[in-house]
Amino acid sequence: MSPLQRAAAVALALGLALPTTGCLRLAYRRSMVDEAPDPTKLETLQAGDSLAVCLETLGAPTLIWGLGDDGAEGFAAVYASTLRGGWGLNASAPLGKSASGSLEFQTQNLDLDAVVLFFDLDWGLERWREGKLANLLPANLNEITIDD
Amino acid sequence: MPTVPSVRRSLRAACLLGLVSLLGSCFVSRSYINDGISPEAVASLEPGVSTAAEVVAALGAPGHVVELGNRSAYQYEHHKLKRAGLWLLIVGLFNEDTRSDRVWVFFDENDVLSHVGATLSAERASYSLPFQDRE
Repeated sequence: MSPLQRAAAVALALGLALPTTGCLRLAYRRSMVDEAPDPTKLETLQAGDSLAVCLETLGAPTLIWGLGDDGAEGFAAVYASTLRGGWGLNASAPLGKSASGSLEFQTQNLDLDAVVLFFDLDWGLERWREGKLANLLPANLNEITIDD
Repeated sequence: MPTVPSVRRSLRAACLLGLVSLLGSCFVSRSYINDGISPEAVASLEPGVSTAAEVVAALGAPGHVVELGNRSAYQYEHHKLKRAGLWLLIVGLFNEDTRSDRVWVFFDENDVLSHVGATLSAERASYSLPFQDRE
């Protein structure tokens, strides 16, 4: 292939690729929300530790959930975070004069990673667990929230 | 037969077209939820001394109130989100970094402050691309 033909091929490829940017897109997205508790700090926590020790060690939790009626059986402190990345393909095409359609596929998993500390009635640490938030929380959670 | 100058012009045009296609395809943005939490205000809270009214005077209205039997906990939050993105023709690279200031204050049955937990890291949100390490 002569230099001129190569140049023409490059220009043609660019010329063809440019219009497709409006209808076909491949994207890598990374999403980070807060930070997971430091594992070395987490390992220092033991059953019976006070709430003050836990707060001093891990900082403020993301959520507090009362356990039992109005939190009368203790509470769960949730430390949640996300660090996810994934490829996604977005394709769209005009359907008419004033409508367009799109198809989106994301491999990104938005499940939250979490550490949950369970406290008893005296606000002493009973246990802690880590994993996916959806798998860690008991079904009978009771959170009373007053929103403005 | 094409001349060498004409080939160079064509290559230059192709390169220029490629560069132009990259311009305008980078972006950064940021957004916030709530105002930042003052470390001084948090430091002024005294467990065993401060009342719920004094905490509210120092930090404002809480975002959430959770009843814990006859005790309670208030939550204060501020989020900072920084986004950065880059389009290379049909391939995009995007990054979102959300960090939070978060404070939980716990009150006893007399509405006196018993515990404070604070994490102030909203300022650490950064603009970066997906292949860059998080700070």
